[in-house]
Amino acid sequence: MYILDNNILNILFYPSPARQLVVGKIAEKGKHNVWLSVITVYEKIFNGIIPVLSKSLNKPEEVTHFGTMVVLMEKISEFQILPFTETDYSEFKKIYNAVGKAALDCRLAASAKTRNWTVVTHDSKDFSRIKAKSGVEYEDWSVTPFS
Amino acid sequence: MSSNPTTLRESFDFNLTAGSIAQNITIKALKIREWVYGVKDSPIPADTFAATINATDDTKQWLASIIGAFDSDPIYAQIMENEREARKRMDEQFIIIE
Repeated sequence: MYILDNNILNILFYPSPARQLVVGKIAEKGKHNVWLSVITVYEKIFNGIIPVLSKSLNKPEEVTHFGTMVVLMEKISEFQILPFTETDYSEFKKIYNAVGKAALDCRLAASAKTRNWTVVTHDSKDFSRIKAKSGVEYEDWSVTPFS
Repeated sequence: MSSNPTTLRESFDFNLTAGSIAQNITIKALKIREWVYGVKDSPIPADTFAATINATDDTKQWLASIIGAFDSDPIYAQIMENEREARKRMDEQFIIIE
């Protein structure tokens, strides 16, 4: 089973030369084996669109921004959403205290570790460090195997 | 603007064959537009922008596709910039969790 990191979602949701690579990999692995963490949903909604939307309230742009929010939620809802459990939180504390940064990535790593799953990310910089500290496996589906 | 294509590509970490982080390349593309035109929010036609840059054809094509898409719906770029800033803030606020 796989958990998609936010940077992979951005490749899927927005224009990117790597989009077809990720789409192909999801098809290859089977969509039922690919999950979005509620942590990533939080990041997309509360860190991403809510600040934009809040600034535009009571202005004509709010119509566009509410529309964007609908599109975003539709895209998110195409995936299975993985809860963040107490067990995940316990594991998160250990990983985050050891890594010392990337709190959201550490939560994804904790969710992967407690289930023996793999994180899919383009962020090899942070995840190589997380792997070294926690043993959590990661893959990058946005690059070709020979690149 | 004069710019060596190789320098332009390398300096912004373009990597078309390997794929790139959409989040980063988009923000970088918008920064390039700001740098070239001195404007941040005024949409520039993607083909005009790409033609301005002294770069190889595939870079121009890629830039045009990215910037064109974001000119038509610039909120996405803002969303990604917000996500990036939030991550940065979180990293700056690291505390040991008991």
